[in-house]
Amino acid sequence: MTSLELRYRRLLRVYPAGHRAAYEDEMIGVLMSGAEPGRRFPAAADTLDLLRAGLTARLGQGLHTQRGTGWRAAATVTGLFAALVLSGVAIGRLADGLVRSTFGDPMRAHGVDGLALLDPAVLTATWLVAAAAAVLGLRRAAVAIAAAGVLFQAGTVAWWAQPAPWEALGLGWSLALAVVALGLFAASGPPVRAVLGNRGLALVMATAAAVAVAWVLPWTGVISIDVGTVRSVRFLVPLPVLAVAAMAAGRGVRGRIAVLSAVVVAIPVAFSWLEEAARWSLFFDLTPGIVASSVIVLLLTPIVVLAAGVTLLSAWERLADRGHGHVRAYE
Amino acid sequence: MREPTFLVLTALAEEPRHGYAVIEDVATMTGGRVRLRAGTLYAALDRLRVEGLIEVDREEVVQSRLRRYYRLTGAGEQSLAVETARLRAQTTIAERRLRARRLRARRLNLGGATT
Repeated sequence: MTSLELRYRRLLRVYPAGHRAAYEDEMIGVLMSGAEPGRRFPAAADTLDLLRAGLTARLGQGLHTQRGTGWRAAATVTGLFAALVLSGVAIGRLADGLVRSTFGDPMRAHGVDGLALLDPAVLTATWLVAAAAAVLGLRRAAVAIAAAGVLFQAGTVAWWAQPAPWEALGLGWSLALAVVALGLFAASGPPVRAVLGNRGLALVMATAAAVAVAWVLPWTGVISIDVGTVRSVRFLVPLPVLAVAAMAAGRGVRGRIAVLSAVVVAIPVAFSWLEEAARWSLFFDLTPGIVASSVIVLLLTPIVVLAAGVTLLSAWERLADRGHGHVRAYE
Repeated sequence: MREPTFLVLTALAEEPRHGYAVIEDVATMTGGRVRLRAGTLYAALDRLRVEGLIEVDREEVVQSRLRRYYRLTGAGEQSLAVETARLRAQTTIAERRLRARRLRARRLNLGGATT
């Protein structure tokens, strides 16, 4: 083997293994036939062409293995889940406000009594209707209502920014989650009933209702649980709904629901850290650099979670395929 | 259909060819304007095989190097015919418009000369 051939073979490693197995010897033949006598290094144009084509083949393979493999079905279920979480949050705030008003709190906002109840009421209605549209398979309606929900969430943050900046900061994650819910509804494929089946859907809704009741009870004082404990476990609350949805969905969709749900869960977690960092900045002398970097890290968290999830799922599925004797090849 | 794909299909329309022969034929057909490189050629060949437009005709080993000959399939022939018709229709429109444009220019020149 000449040094030129060796160098071409090294270059061809940029291609996926399946492509190399199918074409490497043939391509080496073509490359060597085209090389002028005495050449020791690959031509720059050939090198660039091979790198471009090899990387495109890798990227194409990555996308191909993920295309049409249940992501849209998973988006349907996770979009519904996100809408339920958002309506749960709004219901929680509404219930809290109503309880406070029974104890004599005027729920005043912008100088008007009772106005503080307006935004949780509007958001409760919006996300419940969005969830209902998703359940009924009305995709376009769900997208339109979720878009309105995003506007309302943004409006809520702006609404509270003046009288209660901390309340506004605490609502920031709901806005981020609303954007994700809108994206999931827009990307959703088959109706949720088709993904989960009638029985699965009923089970998911029953679990969601049970979780909502269990979540609201401590706040209303009907049962006494330390509010601090409730706060610390709040991110685990939607897990039963997810577990039931994943169980009801088919095998190919299950992992994708887990990945997309991890993004949905990562958002409140990241934003609660952000809120905490902002609070800490009141007591400690944090430099703007530290604050800015923590904001960037937290905003990137959902993207990193999605990328990591997709990578892990692909690796897992490749292993499972090998275990079942399926090999994705170019032949 | 992108130009390299069209040219590869055209090269294989004449007879089954191996990779390097396709490169040479495309260079000849285009008067040296297009010289396909290995990465581009095999990206096109792989895609065309997946789409069922070409298939392997035979394999040979020449001077200890593998040569795989590819041939056009029925679907490939049809696809090339459709693309050729599309290009011809476009060429016809372009030719007609160019002719009309030249005619207009000539009339304007003549009009300018008479006034």
